[in-house]
Amino acid sequence: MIAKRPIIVVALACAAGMCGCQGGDNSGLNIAMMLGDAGVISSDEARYMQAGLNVAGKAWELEQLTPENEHYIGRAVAARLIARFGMSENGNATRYVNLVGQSLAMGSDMPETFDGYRFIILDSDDVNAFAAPGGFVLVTRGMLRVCKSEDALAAVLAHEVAHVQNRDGLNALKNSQFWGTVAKEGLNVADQNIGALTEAFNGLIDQFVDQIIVKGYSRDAELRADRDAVTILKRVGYNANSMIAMLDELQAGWKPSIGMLKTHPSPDQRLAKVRPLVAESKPAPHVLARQKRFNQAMNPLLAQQTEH
Amino acid sequence: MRKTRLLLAAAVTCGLTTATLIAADQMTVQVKRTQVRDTPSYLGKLVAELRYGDRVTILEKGPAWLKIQSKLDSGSKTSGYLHKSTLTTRQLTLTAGTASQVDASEEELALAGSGFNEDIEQRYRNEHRDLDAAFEALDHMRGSAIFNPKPQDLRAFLAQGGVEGGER
Repeated sequence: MIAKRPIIVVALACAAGMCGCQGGDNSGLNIAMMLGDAGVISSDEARYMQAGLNVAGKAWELEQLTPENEHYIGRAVAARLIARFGMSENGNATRYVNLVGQSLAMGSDMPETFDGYRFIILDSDDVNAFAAPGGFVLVTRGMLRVCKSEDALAAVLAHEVAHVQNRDGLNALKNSQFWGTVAKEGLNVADQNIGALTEAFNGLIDQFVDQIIVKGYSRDAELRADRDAVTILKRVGYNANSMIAMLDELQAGWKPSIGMLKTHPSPDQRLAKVRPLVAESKPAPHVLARQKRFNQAMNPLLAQQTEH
Repeated sequence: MRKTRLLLAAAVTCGLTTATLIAADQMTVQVKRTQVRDTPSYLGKLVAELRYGDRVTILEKGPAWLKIQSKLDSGSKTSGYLHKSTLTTRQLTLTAGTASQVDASEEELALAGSGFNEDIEQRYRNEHRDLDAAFEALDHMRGSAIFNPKPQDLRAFLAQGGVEGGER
């Protein structure tokens, strides 16, 4: 009788799992709780199962993050950057940057994130741009100053959108010890887990900010973002040659923040990779309307300097 | 006994792993809100709005867009296209702050909150009051037209600038 019981329970559990699949209900989760309550499996095993992990506590997989999880990570990173650099209050410039940016997001492989892309102008004369999970893209006033046209701005924003679609920020943190905490504590926000999850979140945000401001992504990730930016520009209809113009500008002797120097391959290296991708494009006509609206939106913003 | 327990545990895990996916032709909306269109393009006409957790039936799969069928609030069915980035095969749990049409029992809500969500953010904010202004600015963006241009505004913007959807 005792020997037969586990087999029957196994069969019921499998059936419940399958029924849960078809009916879309929580019968599988309930089985795990029942088995835990009955002492057939330990409470740790029940918790792991509820979290969709195997009983050995398999390492956290980035694919388990939902777009909602990515959104909250991205929000916290964006909040840290806004607090550090300040945010521009120029509504016209911000509206314009969002019109260009959202158009590019539409042409990417990840056009929709949990709560949509946000394009934010940071109140800094450093030349830099950042992408956070969930679609938060932040560019400094200093970077906008280097762009001389709407197509150049599109090139910068397309590169950042590519980082979002490629999940480069999260991939760079794949080996963070904080994922281990999440795997161990499980995904359910029960009272006993929330402290540890909050601590893990805290640690991850610190590491993320450090990654994008100081360390940067891998050379491969940066060159891939350039390549994907060309694809996005072509899909939307912007002039892909603008990538070359932007990289020429960056090479020509600007004063980058320390972060930019450390975190990106040199413009020359990037140009070498981008030129062949663009060579086959038809040169797009210079459109006066685009230049006019770029100047209208940017000139008042760029007249400002950050007070030190 | 240990071997039996491991076997049992493995079986339940297999069942649960399957249970975390839904039926093969069904997917769930994984973004806060999205628009079903009459063609596989963001230029397509709006057919319906769906929200996080809404279920759809997949009719056809393209490389980037899926043709879906969905039930409206009225009970009638509608079909159209969604970009694949909006959908998942996972059975999503509801989180406390997420708007959804699906009625959730208290137990479901108690089980919900997979990983990092609004609750975790609130705790993070409580520990980082120096970020109050920044988070408030982010909150304000949610309802701001500046940060949320409508698709028709984007179409007009691109058209005015002579930006025409180009090579793939």
